[in-house]
Amino acid sequence: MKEITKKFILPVAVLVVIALVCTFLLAVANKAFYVAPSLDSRTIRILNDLAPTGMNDDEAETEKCFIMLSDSDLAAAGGFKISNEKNGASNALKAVYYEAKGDGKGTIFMETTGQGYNPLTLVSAFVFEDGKAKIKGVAPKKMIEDSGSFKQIFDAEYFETYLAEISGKEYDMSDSEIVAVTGATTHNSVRGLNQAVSLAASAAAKLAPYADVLEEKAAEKAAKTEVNNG
Amino acid sequence: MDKRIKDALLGGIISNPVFVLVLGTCPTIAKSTDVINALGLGLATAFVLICSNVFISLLRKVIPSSVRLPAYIVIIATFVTLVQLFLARFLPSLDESIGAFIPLIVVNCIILGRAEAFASKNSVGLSFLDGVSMGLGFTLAIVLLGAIRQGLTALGLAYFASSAGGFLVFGLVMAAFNKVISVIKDVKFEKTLLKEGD
Repeated sequence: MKEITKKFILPVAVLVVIALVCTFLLAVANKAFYVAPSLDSRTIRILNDLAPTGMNDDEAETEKCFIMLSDSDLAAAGGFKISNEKNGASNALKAVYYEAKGDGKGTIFMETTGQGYNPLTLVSAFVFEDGKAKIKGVAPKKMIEDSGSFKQIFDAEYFETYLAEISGKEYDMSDSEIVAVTGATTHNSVRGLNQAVSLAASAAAKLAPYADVLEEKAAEKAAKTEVNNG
Repeated sequence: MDKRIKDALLGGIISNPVFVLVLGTCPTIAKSTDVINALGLGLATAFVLICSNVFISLLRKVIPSSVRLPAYIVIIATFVTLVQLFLARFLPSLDESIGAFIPLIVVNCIILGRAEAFASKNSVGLSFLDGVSMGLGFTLAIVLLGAIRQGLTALGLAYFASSAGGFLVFGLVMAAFNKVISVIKDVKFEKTLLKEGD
Protein backbone atom coordinates (compact mmCIF):
# COMPACT_ATOMS: atom_id res chain seq x y z
CA MET A 1 0.00 0.00 0.00
CA LYS A 2 2.82 2.36 0.94
CA GLU A 3 4.57 1.54 -2.32
CA ILE A 4 1.42 2.26 -4.37
CA THR A 5 0.93 5.58 -2.58
CA LYS A 6 4.55 6.58 -3.22
CA LYS A 7 4.57 5.43 -6.82
CA PHE A 8 1.16 6.49 -8.09
CA ILE A 9 -0.92 8.57 -5.70
CA LEU A 10 1.76 11.00 -4.45
CA PRO A 11 3.04 12.07 -7.90
CA VAL A 12 -0.50 12.68 -9.14
CA ALA A 13 -1.42 14.56 -5.96
CA VAL A 14 1.67 16.80 -6.23
CA LEU A 15 0.95 17.53 -9.87
CA VAL A 16 -2.69 18.36 -9.08
CA VAL A 17 -1.68 20.74 -6.28
CA ILE A 18 0.87 22.50 -8.53
CA ALA A 19 -1.73 22.81 -11.30
CA LEU A 20 -4.33 24.20 -8.88
CA VAL A 21 -1.93 26.79 -7.44
CA CYS A 22 -0.87 27.84 -10.96
CA THR A 23 -4.51 28.08 -12.09
CA PHE A 24 -5.32 30.28 -9.09
CA LEU A 25 -2.33 32.54 -9.82
CA LEU A 26 -3.35 32.89 -13.45
CA ALA A 27 -6.97 33.65 -12.54
CA VAL A 28 -5.77 36.49 -10.30
CA ALA A 29 -3.37 37.76 -12.99
CA ASN A 30 -6.07 37.53 -15.65
CA LYS A 31 -8.28 39.81 -13.59
CA ALA A 32 -5.45 42.21 -12.72
CA PHE A 33 -4.17 42.53 -16.29
CA TYR A 34 -7.56 42.49 -18.07
CA VAL A 35 -7.57 44.77 -21.08
CA ALA A 36 -11.04 46.22 -21.62
CA PRO A 37 -11.90 47.01 -25.24
CA SER A 38 -11.70 50.72 -25.93
CA LEU A 39 -11.93 53.11 -28.83
CA ASP A 40 -8.18 53.65 -28.98
CA SER A 41 -6.18 54.91 -31.98
CA ARG A 42 -5.54 51.39 -33.26
CA THR A 43 -9.22 50.49 -33.16
CA ILE A 44 -10.12 53.74 -34.92
CA ARG A 45 -7.58 52.91 -37.66
CA ILE A 46 -9.21 49.49 -38.16
CA LEU A 47 -12.75 50.95 -38.20
CA ASN A 48 -11.69 53.72 -40.60
CA ASP A 49 -10.21 51.09 -42.94
CA LEU A 50 -13.33 48.92 -42.83
CA ALA A 51 -15.80 51.77 -43.43
CA PRO A 52 -13.86 54.88 -44.46
CA THR A 53 -15.14 58.14 -43.04
CA GLY A 54 -13.44 60.16 -45.78
CA MET A 55 -11.10 61.60 -43.15
CA ASN A 56 -7.71 60.43 -41.95
CA ASP A 57 -7.52 58.47 -38.70
CA ASP A 58 -6.54 61.46 -36.55
CA GLU A 59 -9.38 63.60 -37.93
CA ALA A 60 -11.83 60.73 -37.47
CA GLU A 61 -10.71 60.49 -33.84
CA THR A 62 -10.95 64.25 -33.24
CA GLU A 63 -14.32 64.51 -34.98
CA LYS A 64 -15.64 61.59 -32.88
CA CYS A 65 -16.81 59.75 -35.98
CA PHE A 66 -16.92 56.45 -34.12
CA ILE A 67 -18.87 55.72 -30.96
CA MET A 68 -18.52 52.75 -28.63
CA LEU A 69 -21.94 51.47 -27.62
CA SER A 70 -22.44 50.06 -24.13
CA ASP A 71 -25.08 47.69 -22.77
CA SER A 72 -27.17 50.66 -21.62
CA ASP A 73 -27.07 52.19 -25.13
CA LEU A 74 -28.05 48.87 -26.66
CA ALA A 75 -30.80 48.08 -24.14
CA ALA A 76 -33.30 49.96 -26.31
CA ALA A 77 -32.56 47.51 -29.13
CA GLY A 78 -34.71 44.66 -27.82
CA GLY A 79 -32.78 44.39 -24.53
CA PHE A 80 -29.56 43.45 -26.34
CA LYS A 81 -26.63 42.80 -24.01
CA ILE A 82 -23.00 42.51 -25.15
CA SER A 83 -22.15 40.09 -22.32
CA ASN A 84 -24.91 37.67 -23.40
CA GLU A 85 -23.43 37.14 -26.84
CA LYS A 86 -21.19 34.14 -26.52
CA ASN A 87 -20.15 31.39 -28.86
CA GLY A 88 -18.49 28.88 -26.57
CA ALA A 89 -16.69 29.47 -23.28
CA SER A 90 -14.03 31.89 -24.42
CA ASN A 91 -15.47 33.20 -27.66
CA ALA A 92 -17.51 36.30 -27.04
CA LEU A 93 -18.69 39.62 -28.37
CA LYS A 94 -16.30 42.09 -26.75
CA ALA A 95 -17.50 45.46 -28.01
CA VAL A 96 -19.88 47.21 -30.41
CA TYR A 97 -18.89 50.39 -32.27
CA TYR A 98 -20.97 52.64 -34.51
CA GLU A 99 -20.00 55.11 -37.23
CA ALA A 100 -21.96 58.22 -36.31
CA LYS A 101 -20.31 60.63 -38.79
CA GLY A 102 -18.54 60.33 -42.12
CA ASP A 103 -19.00 58.57 -45.46
CA GLY A 104 -19.70 55.22 -43.81
CA LYS A 105 -22.30 56.62 -41.40
CA GLY A 106 -24.62 53.93 -40.06
CA THR A 107 -22.03 51.13 -40.18
CA ILE A 108 -21.98 48.98 -37.06
CA PHE A 109 -18.84 47.13 -35.97
CA MET A 110 -18.63 44.01 -33.82
CA GLU A 111 -15.42 43.09 -32.01
CA THR A 112 -15.51 39.35 -31.40
CA THR A 113 -13.13 36.55 -30.49
CA GLY A 114 -12.61 33.10 -31.96
CA GLN A 115 -10.35 30.19 -31.18
CA GLY A 116 -7.85 29.37 -33.91
CA TYR A 117 -4.45 27.91 -33.10
CA ASN A 118 -4.55 30.74 -30.56
CA PRO A 119 -7.32 33.13 -29.51
CA LEU A 120 -7.93 35.78 -32.15
CA THR A 121 -9.88 39.02 -32.07
CA LEU A 122 -11.59 40.34 -35.19
CA VAL A 123 -13.64 43.40 -36.04
CA SER A 124 -16.51 42.82 -38.48
CA ALA A 125 -18.41 45.68 -40.13
CA PHE A 126 -22.11 45.47 -41.07
CA VAL A 127 -24.64 47.75 -42.71
CA PHE A 128 -28.35 47.46 -42.09
CA GLU A 129 -30.55 47.09 -45.17
CA ASP A 130 -34.26 46.23 -45.07
CA GLY A 131 -34.02 45.03 -41.48
CA LYS A 132 -31.10 42.74 -42.31
CA ALA A 133 -27.40 42.94 -41.43
CA LYS A 134 -25.15 42.72 -44.46
CA ILE A 135 -21.43 42.27 -44.01
CA LYS A 136 -19.12 45.00 -45.25
CA GLY A 137 -15.74 43.72 -44.16
CA VAL A 138 -13.64 41.89 -41.61
CA ALA A 139 -10.25 42.83 -40.16
CA PRO A 140 -8.05 41.12 -37.58
CA LYS A 141 -7.45 43.22 -34.46
CA LYS A 142 -5.33 40.82 -32.51
CA MET A 143 -4.10 37.44 -33.62
CA ILE A 144 -0.97 35.43 -33.20
CA GLU A 145 -1.69 32.99 -36.02
CA ASP A 146 1.30 34.45 -37.80
CA SER A 147 4.06 31.94 -37.24
CA GLY A 148 4.95 29.83 -40.21
CA SER A 149 2.05 28.49 -42.22
CA PHE A 150 -0.52 28.91 -39.42
CA LYS A 151 -1.55 32.29 -40.78
CA GLN A 152 -2.54 30.94 -44.19
CA ILE A 153 -6.23 31.98 -44.12
CA PHE A 154 -5.09 35.48 -43.13
CA ASP A 155 -2.60 35.69 -46.01
CA ALA A 156 -3.67 38.33 -48.53
CA GLU A 157 -4.81 36.02 -51.34
CA TYR A 158 -6.92 33.72 -49.15
CA PHE A 159 -8.36 36.52 -47.05
CA GLU A 160 -9.25 38.67 -50.06
CA THR A 161 -11.06 35.72 -51.67
CA TYR A 162 -12.94 35.23 -48.41
CA LEU A 163 -13.88 38.92 -48.19
CA ALA A 164 -15.01 38.99 -51.82
CA GLU A 165 -17.24 35.98 -51.15
CA ILE A 166 -18.96 37.41 -48.05
CA SER A 167 -19.20 41.14 -48.90
CA GLY A 168 -22.69 42.56 -49.21
CA LYS A 169 -24.37 39.38 -47.97
CA GLU A 170 -25.94 38.14 -44.79
CA TYR A 171 -23.17 36.04 -43.29
CA ASP A 172 -23.84 32.32 -43.24
CA MET A 173 -20.82 30.15 -44.00
CA SER A 174 -19.51 26.87 -42.68
CA ASP A 175 -15.83 26.12 -42.13
CA SER A 176 -15.80 23.69 -45.06
CA GLU A 177 -17.38 26.30 -47.37
CA ILE A 178 -14.61 28.75 -46.47
CA VAL A 179 -11.99 26.09 -47.19
CA ALA A 180 -13.67 25.28 -50.52
CA VAL A 181 -13.91 28.94 -51.57
CA THR A 182 -10.46 30.11 -50.50
CA GLY A 183 -8.38 26.96 -50.80
CA ALA A 184 -7.00 27.55 -47.31
CA THR A 185 -5.93 24.38 -45.54
CA THR A 186 -5.23 25.60 -42.02
CA HIS A 187 -8.49 24.38 -40.51
CA ASN A 188 -7.89 25.71 -37.00
CA SER A 189 -7.40 29.27 -38.21
CA VAL A 190 -10.43 28.93 -40.51
CA ARG A 191 -12.48 27.73 -37.54
CA GLY A 192 -11.32 30.67 -35.39
CA LEU A 193 -12.12 33.17 -38.14
CA ASN A 194 -15.54 31.64 -38.75
CA GLN A 195 -16.43 31.50 -35.05
CA ALA A 196 -15.65 35.18 -34.61
CA VAL A 197 -17.42 36.36 -37.78
CA SER A 198 -20.46 34.11 -37.21
CA LEU A 199 -20.84 35.47 -33.69
CA ALA A 200 -20.56 39.04 -35.01
CA ALA A 201 -23.14 38.29 -37.73
CA SER A 202 -25.61 36.77 -35.29
CA ALA A 203 -25.28 39.79 -32.98
CA ALA A 204 -25.67 42.19 -35.93
CA ALA A 205 -28.76 40.27 -37.13
CA LYS A 206 -30.33 40.74 -33.69
CA LEU A 207 -29.69 44.48 -33.85
CA ALA A 208 -30.74 44.93 -37.49
CA PRO A 209 -34.48 45.53 -36.80
CA TYR A 210 -33.46 48.36 -34.47
CA ALA A 211 -31.32 50.32 -36.96
CA ASP A 212 -33.24 53.56 -36.33
CA VAL A 213 -32.98 53.21 -32.55
CA LEU A 214 -29.23 52.66 -32.83
CA GLU A 215 -28.78 55.67 -35.08
CA GLU A 216 -30.64 57.80 -32.57
CA LYS A 217 -28.65 56.45 -29.62
CA ALA A 218 -25.34 56.95 -31.44
CA ALA A 219 -26.26 60.55 -32.36
CA GLU A 220 -27.26 61.19 -28.74
CA LYS A 221 -24.00 59.76 -27.46
CA ALA A 222 -21.94 61.68 -30.03
CA ALA A 223 -23.65 64.92 -29.02
CA LYS A 224 -23.05 64.14 -25.34
CA THR A 225 -19.35 63.47 -25.99
CA GLU A 226 -19.03 66.78 -27.86
CA VAL A 227 -20.70 68.69 -25.00
CA ASN A 228 -18.44 66.98 -22.45
CA ASN A 229 -15.36 67.78 -24.52
CA GLY A 230 -16.53 71.35 -25.11
CA MET B 1 33.95 34.17 -3.73
CA ASP B 2 32.45 30.67 -3.42
CA LYS B 3 33.23 28.69 -6.59
CA ARG B 4 29.59 27.61 -7.03
CA ILE B 5 28.37 31.23 -6.89
CA LYS B 6 31.12 32.26 -9.32
CA ASP B 7 30.18 29.44 -11.71
CA ALA B 8 26.48 30.34 -11.52
CA LEU B 9 27.23 34.03 -12.14
CA LEU B 10 29.60 33.45 -15.05
CA GLY B 11 27.44 30.69 -16.57
CA GLY B 12 25.69 33.15 -18.87
CA ILE B 13 29.05 34.01 -20.50
CA ILE B 14 31.19 30.87 -20.26
CA SER B 15 28.27 28.55 -21.00
CA ASN B 16 26.28 31.10 -22.97
CA PRO B 17 22.96 29.40 -23.78
CA VAL B 18 22.91 30.69 -27.36
CA PHE B 19 26.55 30.67 -28.51
CA VAL B 20 27.99 27.82 -26.42
CA LEU B 21 25.10 25.50 -25.52
CA VAL B 22 23.30 26.35 -28.82
CA LEU B 23 19.86 26.34 -27.17
CA GLY B 24 16.85 28.49 -28.13
CA THR B 25 18.09 28.96 -31.68
CA CYS B 26 14.60 29.20 -33.22
CA PRO B 27 13.44 32.38 -31.40
CA THR B 28 17.00 33.75 -31.59
CA ILE B 29 17.04 33.65 -35.38
CA ALA B 30 13.39 34.61 -35.76
CA LYS B 31 13.35 37.69 -33.56
CA SER B 32 16.87 39.05 -33.96
CA THR B 33 16.00 41.20 -36.97
CA ASP B 34 15.36 44.19 -34.76
CA VAL B 35 17.03 45.28 -31.49
CA ILE B 36 13.80 46.29 -29.70
CA ASN B 37 12.06 42.99 -30.48
CA ALA B 38 15.21 41.10 -29.50
CA LEU B 39 15.45 42.97 -26.20
CA GLY B 40 11.75 42.38 -25.49
CA LEU B 41 11.96 38.66 -26.17
CA GLY B 42 15.25 38.37 -24.29
CA LEU B 43 13.88 40.05 -21.16
CA ALA B 44 10.63 38.07 -21.31
CA THR B 45 12.64 34.83 -21.53
CA ALA B 46 14.96 35.98 -18.72
CA PHE B 47 11.99 36.72 -16.46
CA VAL B 48 10.49 33.27 -17.10
CA LEU B 49 13.88 31.64 -16.58
CA ILE B 50 14.53 33.39 -13.25
CA CYS B 51 11.04 32.73 -11.86
CA SER B 52 10.86 29.11 -13.01
CA ASN B 53 14.38 28.41 -11.70
CA VAL B 54 13.45 29.80 -8.27
CA PHE B 55 10.14 27.91 -8.04
CA ILE B 56 11.52 24.64 -9.34
CA SER B 57 14.39 24.88 -6.89
CA LEU B 58 11.95 25.62 -4.05
CA LEU B 59 9.87 22.57 -4.95
CA ARG B 60 12.75 20.28 -5.90
CA LYS B 61 12.34 18.07 -2.83
CA VAL B 62 8.56 17.90 -3.16
CA ILE B 63 8.21 17.06 -6.86
CA PRO B 64 8.52 13.28 -7.42
CA SER B 65 10.99 12.39 -10.12
CA SER B 66 8.36 10.56 -12.23
CA VAL B 67 6.29 13.74 -12.75
CA ARG B 68 9.08 16.31 -12.75
CA LEU B 69 8.84 17.19 -16.46
CA PRO B 70 5.05 17.84 -16.51
CA ALA B 71 5.43 19.76 -13.24
CA TYR B 72 8.22 21.91 -14.74
CA ILE B 73 6.17 22.58 -17.86
CA VAL B 74 3.12 23.64 -15.79
CA ILE B 75 5.30 26.04 -13.74
CA ILE B 76 7.07 27.44 -16.83
CA ALA B 77 3.76 27.82 -18.72
CA THR B 78 2.30 29.76 -15.80
CA PHE B 79 5.09 32.32 -15.91
CA VAL B 80 4.91 32.53 -19.69
CA THR B 81 1.17 33.26 -19.48
CA LEU B 82 1.88 35.93 -16.86
CA VAL B 83 4.37 37.58 -19.22
CA GLN B 84 1.83 37.37 -22.05
CA LEU B 85 -0.90 39.02 -19.95
CA PHE B 86 1.54 41.71 -18.78
CA LEU B 87 2.65 42.56 -22.32
CA ALA B 88 -0.94 42.70 -23.60
CA ARG B 89 -1.86 45.09 -20.78
CA PHE B 90 1.17 47.38 -20.62
CA LEU B 91 3.17 46.98 -23.86
CA PRO B 92 0.59 46.26 -26.59
CA SER B 93 2.87 47.25 -29.48
CA LEU B 94 5.63 44.90 -28.31
CA ASP B 95 2.98 42.22 -27.73
CA GLU B 96 1.86 42.67 -31.33
CA SER B 97 5.36 42.30 -32.75
CA ILE B 98 6.70 39.42 -30.62
CA GLY B 99 3.38 38.00 -29.39
CA ALA B 100 3.62 34.80 -31.45
CA PHE B 101 6.93 33.90 -29.83
CA ILE B 102 5.88 34.45 -26.22
CA PRO B 103 3.88 31.18 -25.89
CA LEU B 104 6.83 29.40 -27.50
CA ILE B 105 9.01 30.35 -24.50
CA VAL B 106 7.35 27.36 -22.77
CA VAL B 107 9.24 25.00 -25.04
CA ASN B 108 12.46 27.03 -25.13
CA CYS B 109 15.18 24.46 -24.40
CA ILE B 110 17.14 26.97 -22.28
CA ILE B 111 14.40 27.13 -19.66
CA LEU B 112 13.60 23.43 -19.44
CA GLY B 113 17.32 22.67 -19.73
CA ARG B 114 18.25 24.88 -16.75
CA ALA B 115 15.32 23.54 -14.73
CA GLU B 116 16.48 19.97 -15.28
CA ALA B 117 20.24 20.52 -15.14
CA PHE B 118 20.51 23.18 -12.45
CA ALA B 119 17.41 24.30 -10.54
CA SER B 120 16.31 20.77 -9.66
CA LYS B 121 19.70 20.08 -8.03
CA ASN B 122 20.70 23.38 -6.43
CA SER B 123 19.56 25.80 -3.74
CA VAL B 124 17.12 28.66 -4.39
CA GLY B 125 19.86 31.32 -4.19
CA LEU B 126 22.13 29.58 -6.69
CA SER B 127 19.18 28.84 -8.99
CA PHE B 128 18.23 32.51 -8.90
CA LEU B 129 21.79 33.53 -9.82
CA ASP B 130 21.85 30.93 -12.58
CA GLY B 131 18.52 32.27 -13.90
CA VAL B 132 19.81 35.86 -13.88
CA SER B 133 23.10 34.89 -15.52
CA MET B 134 21.60 32.62 -18.19
CA GLY B 135 18.70 35.02 -18.81
CA LEU B 136 21.02 37.97 -19.31
CA GLY B 137 23.35 35.77 -21.39
CA PHE B 138 20.44 34.93 -23.69
CA THR B 139 19.29 38.57 -23.80
CA LEU B 140 22.79 39.84 -24.61
CA ALA B 141 23.23 37.23 -27.34
CA ILE B 142 19.90 37.95 -29.06
CA VAL B 143 20.40 41.74 -28.75
CA LEU B 144 23.94 41.45 -30.19
CA LEU B 145 22.61 39.49 -33.16
CA GLY B 146 19.72 41.95 -33.50
CA ALA B 147 22.09 44.94 -33.56
CA ILE B 148 24.36 43.34 -36.18
CA ARG B 149 21.48 42.22 -38.42
CA GLN B 150 19.63 45.54 -38.09
CA GLY B 151 22.82 47.43 -38.84
CA LEU B 152 23.58 45.32 -41.92
CA THR B 153 19.99 45.65 -43.13
CA ALA B 154 20.16 49.43 -42.64
CA LEU B 155 23.29 49.44 -44.83
CA GLY B 156 21.16 48.03 -47.63
CA LEU B 157 22.03 44.35 -47.14
CA ALA B 158 18.43 43.15 -46.87
CA TYR B 159 19.62 39.52 -47.09
CA PHE B 160 20.55 39.67 -43.40
CA ALA B 161 16.94 40.28 -42.41
CA SER B 162 16.05 36.86 -43.83
CA SER B 163 16.38 33.56 -41.95
CA ALA B 164 19.32 32.51 -44.14
CA GLY B 165 21.12 35.76 -43.35
CA GLY B 166 20.26 35.23 -39.70
CA PHE B 167 21.90 31.79 -39.71
CA LEU B 168 25.00 33.24 -41.37
CA VAL B 169 25.37 36.02 -38.79
CA PHE B 170 24.58 33.56 -36.00
CA GLY B 171 27.30 31.16 -37.17
CA LEU B 172 29.94 33.88 -37.54
CA VAL B 173 29.18 35.49 -34.18
CA MET B 174 29.13 32.06 -32.52
CA ALA B 175 32.58 31.26 -33.98
CA ALA B 176 34.00 34.62 -32.85
CA PHE B 177 32.46 34.28 -29.38
CA ASN B 178 33.84 30.79 -28.85
CA LYS B 179 37.28 31.88 -30.07
CA VAL B 180 37.33 34.75 -27.55
CA ILE B 181 36.19 32.45 -24.73
CA SER B 182 38.85 29.84 -25.60
CA VAL B 183 41.60 32.52 -25.71
CA ILE B 184 40.52 33.80 -22.27
CA LYS B 185 40.48 30.23 -20.94
CA ASP B 186 44.00 29.59 -22.36
CA VAL B 187 45.40 32.77 -20.79
CA LYS B 188 43.83 31.85 -17.46
CA PHE B 189 45.25 28.33 -17.71
CA GLU B 190 48.75 29.67 -18.47
CA LYS B 191 48.55 32.02 -15.48
CA THR B 192 47.56 29.11 -13.23
CA LEU B 193 50.49 27.03 -14.52
CA LEU B 194 52.92 29.94 -13.96
CA LYS B 195 51.59 30.41 -10.42
CA GLU B 196 52.03 26.72 -9.69
CA GLY B 197 55.59 26.88 -11.14
CA ASP B 198 56.48 29.75 -8.79
